[in-house]
Amino acid sequence: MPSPRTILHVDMNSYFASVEQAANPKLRGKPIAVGGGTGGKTTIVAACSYEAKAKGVKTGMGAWEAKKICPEIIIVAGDMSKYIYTSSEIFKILRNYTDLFEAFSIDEGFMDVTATKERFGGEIMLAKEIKQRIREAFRLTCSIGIGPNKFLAKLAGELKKPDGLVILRSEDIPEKIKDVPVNKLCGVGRKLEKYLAAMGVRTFLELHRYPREKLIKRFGTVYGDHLWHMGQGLDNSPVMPYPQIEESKSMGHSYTMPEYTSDIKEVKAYLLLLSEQVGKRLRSGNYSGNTVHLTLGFGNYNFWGKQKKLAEYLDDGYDIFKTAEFLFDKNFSGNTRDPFRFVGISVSGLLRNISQPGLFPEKQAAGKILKAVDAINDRYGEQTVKRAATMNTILHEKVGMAPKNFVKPSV
Amino acid sequence: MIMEISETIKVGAVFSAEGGKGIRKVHPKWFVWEGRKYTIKEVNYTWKELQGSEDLYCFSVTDGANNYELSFNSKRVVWVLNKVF
Repeated sequence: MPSPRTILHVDMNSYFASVEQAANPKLRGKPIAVGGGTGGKTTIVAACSYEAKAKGVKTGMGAWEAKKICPEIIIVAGDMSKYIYTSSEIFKILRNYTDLFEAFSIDEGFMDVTATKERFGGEIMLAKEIKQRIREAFRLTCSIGIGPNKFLAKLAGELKKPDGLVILRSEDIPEKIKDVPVNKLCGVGRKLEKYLAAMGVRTFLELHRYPREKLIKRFGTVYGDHLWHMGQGLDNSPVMPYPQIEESKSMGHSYTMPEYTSDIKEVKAYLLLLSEQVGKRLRSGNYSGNTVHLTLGFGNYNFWGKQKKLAEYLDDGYDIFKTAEFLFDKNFSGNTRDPFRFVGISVSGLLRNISQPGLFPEKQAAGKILKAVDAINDRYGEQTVKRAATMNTILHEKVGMAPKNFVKPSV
Repeated sequence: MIMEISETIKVGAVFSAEGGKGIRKVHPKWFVWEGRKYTIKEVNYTWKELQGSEDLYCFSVTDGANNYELSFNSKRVVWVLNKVF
């Protein structure tokens, strides 16, 4: 029997909004929402402060809806550079306590402190020290969950927000969390919650008591068994430090436009710009992909998506764009339906370090040009050199939650 | 209300290595903008950005009345007042 582990889950509270409140004293104690813009028609609430949450504002709402619920809300344009930097500094702090740290997202991570906790006076002292260091360095609070595995550590962290510190031990299962709704469990989304509710499973205790064979019958061997393990509070998955994390499965960029548009030329210019960004990311990681996905969002909040699998592997933004354009033209030529508000491009079917020297001189020359353009943009900032067709897009700095160096305004 | 400024300014700052660990810190103390000197009472927040291959050290500071976003380009040795808010 493996020896018990001690896992910490560190989750920054209302992260983007808290960073903005820390950086601007005038926003502290006020309901604020962070979005891609400052409250235009298409701005979506990407994060909101606890003061806004208390008034009923939720992540994913339109800014107009947030303003309706909470008229005094302040909408702040997100600044990804600030969040990425802060996150990397916080992760540096966490790595001071163990080499087994896994970044789960920009604002949360797992730490396996089984072997190191005693050096810091045990897991509770260690967690308190982390909270204090983060508070002192950034004026930010975090919730820390401690458990014998990642699943219970994350769940423990969910139980008290903001600024919580909760421990769940194996012996606490199921009693201490029996009334926790299943939608609080990591991996249970709205759809699964609905399926489980139809089976009479709404709380942790109900999942805990549900027969394993019935879960397997309903959800299949792999997922049914996974759900049963969840219900028992079991999870053997290791904390995976960065170098062991799986290879990327897809890479993409998306953008919510500042205004609705029915101008196909404008939409295509955004597609080209985003395709170039995806191509750049693929090349910098030595990836190529053979499946291009196009996603479009409309003024009526509907989304549409199509994908195309290719015989060859791509890493050139223009090739990615041509595939996306093919998908677009096939479905939208001369018919703009509702105006567009969102565009997204991603490439999957990724392979790494494959060398596909072009047979034709044109292809070889294009490869050389891309290399030179990448070098210039690395040195002087993204989009210093870009295709002329994208010059009319207004993908400004800090709009669309893009990092500051994501793209420079057109001149 | 945020005012975008993006003007090169003169800044008085202390550069230090703190805690005996050689961690370099920059502490802006005052700046001059449009002929007026502003004394920085508090640094609210600091972060770093990349502008191409150049590092930008950013500071949200207050003079007690307003907040200002300053940035220092360590390669060009230039301070910029980005915003007043």
